[in-house]
Amino acid sequence: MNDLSDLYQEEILAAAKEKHNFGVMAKADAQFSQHNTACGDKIAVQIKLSQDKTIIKDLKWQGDGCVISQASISKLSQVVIGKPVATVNAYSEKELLKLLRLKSIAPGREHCLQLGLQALKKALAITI
Amino acid sequence: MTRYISWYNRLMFDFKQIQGDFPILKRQVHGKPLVYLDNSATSQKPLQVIDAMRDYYTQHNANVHRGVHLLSDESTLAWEQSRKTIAEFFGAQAEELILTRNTTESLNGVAYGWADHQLRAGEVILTSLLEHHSNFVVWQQVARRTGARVEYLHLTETGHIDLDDLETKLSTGKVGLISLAHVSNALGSVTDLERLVALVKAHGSTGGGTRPKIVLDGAQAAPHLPVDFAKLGVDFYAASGHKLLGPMGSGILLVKKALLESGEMQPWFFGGGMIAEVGTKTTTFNENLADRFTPGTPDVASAVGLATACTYLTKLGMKQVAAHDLELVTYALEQLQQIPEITILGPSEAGSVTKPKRIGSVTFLYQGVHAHDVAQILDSEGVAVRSGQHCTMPLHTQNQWLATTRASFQIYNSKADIDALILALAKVKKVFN
Repeated sequence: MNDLSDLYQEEILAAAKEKHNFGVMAKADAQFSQHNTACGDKIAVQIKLSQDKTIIKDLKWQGDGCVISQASISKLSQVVIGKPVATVNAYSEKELLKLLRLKSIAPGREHCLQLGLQALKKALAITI
Repeated sequence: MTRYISWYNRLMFDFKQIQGDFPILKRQVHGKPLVYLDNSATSQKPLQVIDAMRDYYTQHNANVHRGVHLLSDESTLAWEQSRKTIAEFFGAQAEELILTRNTTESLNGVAYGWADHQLRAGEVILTSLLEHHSNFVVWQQVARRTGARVEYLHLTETGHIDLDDLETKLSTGKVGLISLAHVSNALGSVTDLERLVALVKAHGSTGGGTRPKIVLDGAQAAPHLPVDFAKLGVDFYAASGHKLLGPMGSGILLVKKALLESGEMQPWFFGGGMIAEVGTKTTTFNENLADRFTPGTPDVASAVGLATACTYLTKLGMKQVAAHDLELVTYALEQLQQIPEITILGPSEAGSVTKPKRIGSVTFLYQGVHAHDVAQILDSEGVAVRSGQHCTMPLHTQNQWLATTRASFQIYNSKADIDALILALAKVKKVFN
């Protein structure tokens, strides 16, 4: 179980606030909106890929939610641009926890952590 | 101090004794004493309920009806006596009680057992925009199956179901079924049943000349208000036993006896126990109304547990329970509205036992902080609340609330728990400053 000071550490709060790569892309190769029915949070991800569709060239996201969901997609967006699609497709909770410097996440917050990654993976899936 | 004295004096039951009946309340969470304010989701269970179920399993367990041996007789007796006690608690006859797992199953029972057979294409099912998904999705599905149409009643500015809108919609003469929350799980608002029933009696006749049937979702009402099914004037009443101190997986559906006797309400689960004669071509159903709606082996232990919970609440007196709850809601509203970042949603006053306006819970928005983050921080202080949309997505969407935080109460909560909530909310500001 996380200590509250881990969950709401400065870096997480800052990532949620700064919303890296937040916005809309003019000509996206794919987009996907993931909705969390438990809390109403929604994250929409747009991506641009390399011509051979193997590298993520750009990512923009939109949506509103709790600190964890916002920090997770904000941080994730920073690291996936320039990465191979295959690498990102293999991401799981482990990578997200690492990005947020968390050891674990309570079961009730797993969906918050995963929301952005789920949207991204589905956006990637529909480009293939 | 005067406030506390007057409050305790008004209570007819021994508050310390009550808290002692719930061992879970002595738990620590994150090193802090547990303050459990998530009662709208499920209540805690008193030792009396836990002990009664343990006694059933350690002394009497056997299948009902079918055995010719002492344990089976004892189990059958426990089942029948429990049904009687539960029915009496709700002011119903034992034959009118169908035991289910929860309110959702009960509402589905009305859909499959009554609506699917009785509603015709073009008829209207009226529900409202504040309903729990279980009183929303069920009717959308019935509409798909029967060709009936679902219409939604609007809400008033105070967050109550708009009964003027009901009057307007009834005047079309097409309404076949009205299914509404007795108390809103998201806003705590209490529906004015007296007016609701009077309006339906006065205006509501469908093309065939019969008045529309009324279903009440009593999940958030039954734990807090006295329910007298014989006098309510409604046809179906659904509630969850687990929210009123009973075991998980216990719920009730009350159906007016006339609807059962006429066969208008039909069984929707089939199998052993509920039949009279089984042939290769046709099967007739049990004449005994209770058995007709009890397919397969029943959950006797849960029935025993729920009956014990009903007895526990009857001893306290449901009027006293209601008074206690209204007092807590009043105090919570008064306290929360003093925090500048907080916006209270739903009725701003609790009302009285005879005219309750808001009961069971207080829901709010915290400016600039998502409800999940509020709840997480409160949890770190030992305060358990619910955050999210509370299975009321249409209500949240209409009001553009992303997610809300709900503190909900039971008989074992005190003003000290609300004080703990207020103090814990200060930490939200600290973390997000």
